[in-house]
Amino acid sequence: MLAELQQQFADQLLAAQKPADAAANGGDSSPLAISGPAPAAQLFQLYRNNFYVSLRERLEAVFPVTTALVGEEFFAQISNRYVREFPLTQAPLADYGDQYGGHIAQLIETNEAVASVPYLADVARLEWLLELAEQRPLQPNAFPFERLSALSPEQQAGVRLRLAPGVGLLKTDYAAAVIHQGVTTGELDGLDPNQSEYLLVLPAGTAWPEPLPRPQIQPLDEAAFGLLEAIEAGKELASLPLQDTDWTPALLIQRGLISDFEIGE
Amino acid sequence: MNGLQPYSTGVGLRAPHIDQWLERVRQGDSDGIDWLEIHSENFFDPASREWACLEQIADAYALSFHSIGMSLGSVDPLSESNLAQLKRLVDHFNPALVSDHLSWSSVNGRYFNDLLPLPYTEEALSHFSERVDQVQQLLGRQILIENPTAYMAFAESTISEWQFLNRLVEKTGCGLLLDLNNIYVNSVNLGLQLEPYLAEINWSAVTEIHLAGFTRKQLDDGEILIDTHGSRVSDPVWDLYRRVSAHCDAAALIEWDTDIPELEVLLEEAAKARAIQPQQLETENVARGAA
Repeated sequence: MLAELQQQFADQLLAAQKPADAAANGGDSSPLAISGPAPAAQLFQLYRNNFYVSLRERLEAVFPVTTALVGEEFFAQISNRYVREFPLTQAPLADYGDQYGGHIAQLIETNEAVASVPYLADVARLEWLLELAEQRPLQPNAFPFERLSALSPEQQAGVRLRLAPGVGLLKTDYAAAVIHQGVTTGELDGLDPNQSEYLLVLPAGTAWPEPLPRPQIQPLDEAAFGLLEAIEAGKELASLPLQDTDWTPALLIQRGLISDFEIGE
Repeated sequence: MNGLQPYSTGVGLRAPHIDQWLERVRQGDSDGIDWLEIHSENFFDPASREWACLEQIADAYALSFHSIGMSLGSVDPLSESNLAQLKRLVDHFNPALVSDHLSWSSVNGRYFNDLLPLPYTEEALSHFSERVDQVQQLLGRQILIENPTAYMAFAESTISEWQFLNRLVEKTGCGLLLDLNNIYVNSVNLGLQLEPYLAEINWSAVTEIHLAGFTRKQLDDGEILIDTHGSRVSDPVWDLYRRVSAHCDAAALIEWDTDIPELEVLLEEAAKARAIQPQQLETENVARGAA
């Protein structure tokens, strides 16, 4: 009985029905026998609003630039669809929004209005990386030097370095960082959105060289990005592409961007 | 530490005020606030800034960990991940109190980010009791269960809310967190009977009291009070607290979650709660007598 009641309640929350439609259908389409200060359809609408609005507010907080680019009303439409199609699967909201960039990318393929802002998905992906960087400031002196120095040279060559949890990488065909900056500062005139970028998102605490007080977006050249991408992909130390860049694993460790390593097979 | 001092007063620790609390910790400035309450889920990540800040705040204030995500009333299995993170947080900080709500939040693994109402039936009581037992065993400590706000009542309910809570206490040994605003809002919206509730609830189990504000919302067919925690405590709820605190010395919290104002507003509300407590009145009377 309890299981049935909760399923029926959830069905009401996920229904697209509005009170006006419900009234036209005789006032209440719910099989649940309830009482309250208003007709059942209005009470379920109240719970439905709480559900959608609370998750939309979460998305608006994480994606302010995406919101500004399409306007609050259209962002709410995209977000309502996200809330329906991408369930919240745990109580904490910290991870909610992780697939928003992909959601927009899919809309770009199918929705004419979204297709007119083809860079929107990558701007959203960038904002998600900034959210992760915000949530995960660098832990000082995290790298386990002692554990590394205890390894033989052969073992060291085979280690797989790990990027610190708040560090993010984004390769984009659009000027996502420039657009982000432009929206944030209100200076969008003359901006060409069709410039590809290699971006590194740095959490607060990154030694750059002084510890960053808040997350920062850092454009990179292709070679430096390639090195970080190879580290993120889990390539062994000895096979990292170091030839075309001044960046080295030692420098990345010093700056806090690499916080750990795994010993290779 | 377990439990809070009788008639102690706390406020909710919310993100916009964290820096001010850190500053107060540095300056040793308590403003009569004895303890702070967090939403546990916002502090789950040991690598987060929130966790680091709480380390400093815990040096100066007692803590209460109030969960909104255990979904104790759901028929879904309890989330192992959620409980593991809560246990890590609780084990690390050893707060004075740990609590969650008489509600449910998920179906088939989908969470609705809300505290949804339960029918008050024998089946629900049995189910809820088992879940409270599970959590208490896992955490190795008592938890408190808070009476919820509901905007609808189920026809299949066979027992009253206070009977449900009292029997839950008997079955599990849990404590109660009594939210007076929720009782008031439910009395207006659903006709919940205040007098038998206040007469019958097991006061010896009430360890914490929540005081919060509501907002009025117009529906197509009338008005409803919404438990927004976004305004000052209302006069009817202060009246309830006056009655309750005459015989119940549970720690009281000012809870504010939306449209969060300056910290000073919360401190004013906490001072108002303190002024109502009989202990405070006695102190004032003694002071007047001495003068």
